[in-house]
Amino acid sequence: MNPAAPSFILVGSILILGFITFLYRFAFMSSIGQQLSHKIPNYFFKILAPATFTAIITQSFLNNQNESQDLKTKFLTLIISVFIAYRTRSVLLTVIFGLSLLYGLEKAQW
Amino acid sequence: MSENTKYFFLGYRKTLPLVVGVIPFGIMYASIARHTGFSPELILFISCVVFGGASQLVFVDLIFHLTSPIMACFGAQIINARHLVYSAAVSRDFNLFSLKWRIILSYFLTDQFYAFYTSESKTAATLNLLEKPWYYLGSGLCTWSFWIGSTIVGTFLEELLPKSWNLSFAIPLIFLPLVIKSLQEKGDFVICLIAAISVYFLQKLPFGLGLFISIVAASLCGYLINKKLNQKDSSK
Repeated sequence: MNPAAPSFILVGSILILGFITFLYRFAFMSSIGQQLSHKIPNYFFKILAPATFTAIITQSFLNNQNESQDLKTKFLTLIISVFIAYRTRSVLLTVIFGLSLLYGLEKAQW
Repeated sequence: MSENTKYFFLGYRKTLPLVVGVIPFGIMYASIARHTGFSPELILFISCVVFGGASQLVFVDLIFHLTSPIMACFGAQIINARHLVYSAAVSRDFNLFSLKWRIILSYFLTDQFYAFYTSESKTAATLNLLEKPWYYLGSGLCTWSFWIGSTIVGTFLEELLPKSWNLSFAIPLIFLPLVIKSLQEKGDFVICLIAAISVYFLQKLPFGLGLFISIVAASLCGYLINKKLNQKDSSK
């Protein structure tokens, strides 16, 4: 897929993504949603979050490395960043720390 | 200044501290999208149509790695499933508004909007049904304007950002605190483990199907594990 040359399918996918996102947000504000809101356990949506986020982290991590040295550096960065994320709970701090660490490790050819 | 405008700007002003995190996120999204080959117009188009930071990041990442826009759309919309929870949470108040207002405010229902809704509920309680929507609209437009603004900045700043900064690695980093925040029960750790192992073993499946199978499998396993743990705890 070449995103530089947007196709009808790509633009259509963006519109579908936007529409589905809107439907999620509007779901319980629609007339049907108002009736459903008491029947669906919120617990299920809570479980979806850790499963989805972990899967994305793993997938993105696997997609991000090209060679074993690269894997080693990024894995170390990820492990240390878990600690920072746990201590700060801040997206901003975790990203700044993680990217700085990775940059430093790569420059030092660790 | 009319009363409605006054409440609009009150909502806007009170949301400002919450959107600090939106700025680097928007810049990062646009930069990653530029790195993966998206045009500036398309980057802005996605921000306007979807208006969901994490899902947009995943969408451009999946487009780059999976080649199929439909599967990328499917993958990215799973991220936004948490908006269902927000929708359920605000529905008690918002269902008192007219359909027009419910449609408008639904578009703005993001993480920041939900945070504003929960943290500013005392102020909202003092407003009547005609004033409240304006108050929330101010909040929603605050996040939206910062998101679009940072997207534009990121689109053009990308030229200055070297590839050695590994900006695409920001995606797993962004989700780390979100995972940690989402861990609430003992069984949630097992969900993460199952999801990670499953993605690793299913990574060769076409169209990134491994990602979706992993999410479904981890969620189902997590549901059963937590159910069992809760039963065990209650029997004690």
